[in-house]
Amino acid sequence: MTSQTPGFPLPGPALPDPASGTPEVNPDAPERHGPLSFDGIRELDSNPPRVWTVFYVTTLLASLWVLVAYPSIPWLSHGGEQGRAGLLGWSARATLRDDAGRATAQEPAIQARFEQASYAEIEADPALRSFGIAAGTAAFGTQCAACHGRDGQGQAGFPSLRDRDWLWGGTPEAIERTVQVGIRWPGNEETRSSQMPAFGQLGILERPQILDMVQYVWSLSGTPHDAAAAARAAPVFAENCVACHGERGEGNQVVGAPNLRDAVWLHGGSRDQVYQTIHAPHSGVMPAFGGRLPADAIRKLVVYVRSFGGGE
Amino acid sequence: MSSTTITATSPATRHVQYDDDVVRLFVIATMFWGVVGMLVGVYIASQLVFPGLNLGLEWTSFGRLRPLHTSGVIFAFGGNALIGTSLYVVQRTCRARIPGTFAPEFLFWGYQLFIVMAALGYVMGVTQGREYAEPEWMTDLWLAIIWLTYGGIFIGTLLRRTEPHIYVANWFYLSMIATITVLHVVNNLAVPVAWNSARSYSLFAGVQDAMTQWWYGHNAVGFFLTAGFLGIMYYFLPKQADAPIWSYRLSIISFWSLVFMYMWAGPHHLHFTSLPDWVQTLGMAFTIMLWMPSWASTLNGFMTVSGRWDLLRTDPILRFMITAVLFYGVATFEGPLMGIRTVNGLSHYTDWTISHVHSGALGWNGFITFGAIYFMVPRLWGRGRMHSAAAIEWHYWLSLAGIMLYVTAMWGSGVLQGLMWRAYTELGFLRYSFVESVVASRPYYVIRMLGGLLYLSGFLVMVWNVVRTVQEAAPFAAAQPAPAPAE
Repeated sequence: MTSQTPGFPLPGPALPDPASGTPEVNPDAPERHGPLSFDGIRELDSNPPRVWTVFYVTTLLASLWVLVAYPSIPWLSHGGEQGRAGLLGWSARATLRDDAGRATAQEPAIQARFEQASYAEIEADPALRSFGIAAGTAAFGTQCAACHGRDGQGQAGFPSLRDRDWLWGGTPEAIERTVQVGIRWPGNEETRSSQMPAFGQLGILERPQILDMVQYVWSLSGTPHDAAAAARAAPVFAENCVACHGERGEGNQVVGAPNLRDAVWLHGGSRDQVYQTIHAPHSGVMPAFGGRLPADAIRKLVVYVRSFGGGE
Repeated sequence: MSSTTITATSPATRHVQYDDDVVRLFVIATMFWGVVGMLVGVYIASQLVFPGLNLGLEWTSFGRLRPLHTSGVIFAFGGNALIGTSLYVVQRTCRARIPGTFAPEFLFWGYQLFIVMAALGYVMGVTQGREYAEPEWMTDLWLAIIWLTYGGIFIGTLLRRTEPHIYVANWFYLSMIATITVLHVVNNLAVPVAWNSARSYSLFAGVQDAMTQWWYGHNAVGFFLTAGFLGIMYYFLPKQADAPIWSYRLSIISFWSLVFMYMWAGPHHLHFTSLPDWVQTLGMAFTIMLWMPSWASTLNGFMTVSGRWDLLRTDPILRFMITAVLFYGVATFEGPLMGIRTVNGLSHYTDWTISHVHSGALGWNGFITFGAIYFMVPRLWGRGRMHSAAAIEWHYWLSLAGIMLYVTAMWGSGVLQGLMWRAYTELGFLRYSFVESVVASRPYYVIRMLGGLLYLSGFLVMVWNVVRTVQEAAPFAAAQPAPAPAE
């Protein structure tokens, strides 16, 4: 044995106090190895407690029952279209089929009415409208909330759906179209698409001109601005910007050009942010949901989005 | 290493000098990687509360730091603890020195190199995307060499034992070594894209690939985190309590049932997937069977201390060990429960799983390791006791409070998530979106972060205590008699 073990750390081993009650170690338990010990460790050979043995046998029997009751043998479980096996005739596939069938059977009658109704009819009928909102809430949380926010409030670079500022139109039909084809979405040929030129990066406008333009853009929405600078930029605006943003900066939903008169800033309204947008604009992307969601689900989404109160 | 040679040759008076140099190294590595692994854990837990902490950098994003945390605590902290304690235990219970002088050092430094290779890979995004087996093929090959070296050293010690029997702790260690070899090799069968490429493709595809991965993942828990750490328990618990193992019979039943049944239960990680029904059922049945074999060792641990419960008041080291056994019992009750298909339908993919692994990892693996290290350090460095008994108390209560916060918070958020995801409105629509369950989980993530912080603080107290103990010690080698001259 090694000689390296001086002393025992922290309180020394105490023997059980016979006065403190029945000792739980069975003094009669035979020792497995007689006088043998391993580095001073002896081994008793107590019987497992009966309750443990009972539980052990019970779980073994329960497992056997599972193996018999449910499919557990490969060549039996592959048989037949049903794919059922085991005493209970259970299969995951059949369970799913049953559940889906029951869900369809229980589908509320209002679903059929909803499918037939136009947007105008839906929004005029409180029952249809709240049905659409209930369905749209679920889909929105899963499909849209990551970018547009849990309540459609948007975030920097992702438009709010609660205001009256619509880039591509806020009528039910326009919203449905946007959700269907997406915006600048490479996976859809009909996707809504437009590209504002990078006026600074491409050298179309010089830095002082862009600085003046920021003042002009501010002037459109009544934001405090430098009137002289804005006046200098007015002809530049007329030459470069009106084609999309309109003569008075009112925007154009056909090409997704934002309204500049409403002080709603998708990419921020500070001097640096507006400068950046003119210099090299962001062009946000929204996926096309046409292939991902059924048309009916998209209509429900539209009804829900309209319920934010920001529609046209 | 000259102080660790065999000094007498007559069998009757044979005195064995154990090679504790390498054990000391493994203890130091355990402490070091423990700090790293737990620190990263606290950091990524904080990221879930404050997402900005990912710093917008790929190297510090949650996805890359998470395997650093899991591997850091399982393979770096846990692995060093397992190898270190096993070499300590196998020498003493066999009364034989581990073979070789180069091999143990090669094992130690080779294992640390594996850890560094794996960790660098995680941070740089070199991963084969298999949970707990993320390192790519070249790191896997290196680990295979190291692990076989470890097996050789361990089995070599068993072969040259001077005890007639092999002690139960060594069975568990040996089952770990054997099984991890098979698991590691099979799960990492892959074809590299090129010899100079860090990328590879798995030999398996689709659902077979998933099944291989979770056969591995489940049994890594079973044989690394369960069997290996039971080896620790079976030596250090009776030593610290100075009591005989309660039942040899129960050890045997526990060992063979565990070894046989654990192997089959992997499919319960893939309930409700495209895994064929029959495989899922098979996995579930063996999961239910596992309940009582796991508890056999829990019972054996408790009953070994039975009659000496008063020690728990005064001996925080034994308290660490017994609390570990308690958490082992809790986690191995919860595991089979979660492996039942219907329960799994609620628990899977939620934080309940996180709660489960942390009651196992923090409570069982952590506490039994702490107990073993507190036991070994004074002996390895030739000290009578740890530097501070009060610090061990602080460590115990800080850690326990940390686990309680962590585990209950994750139970809360786990069940909450499971219920929110399956809630329907009267009209049959999902009531909550995923993002709403994320928002609802946030308070629990704050609690979890605090729990992790407490656990880390406790561990730092331990590191301080160990460092002070070692610093104050007279060098162990100096206390040894001069080695006999070689023939």
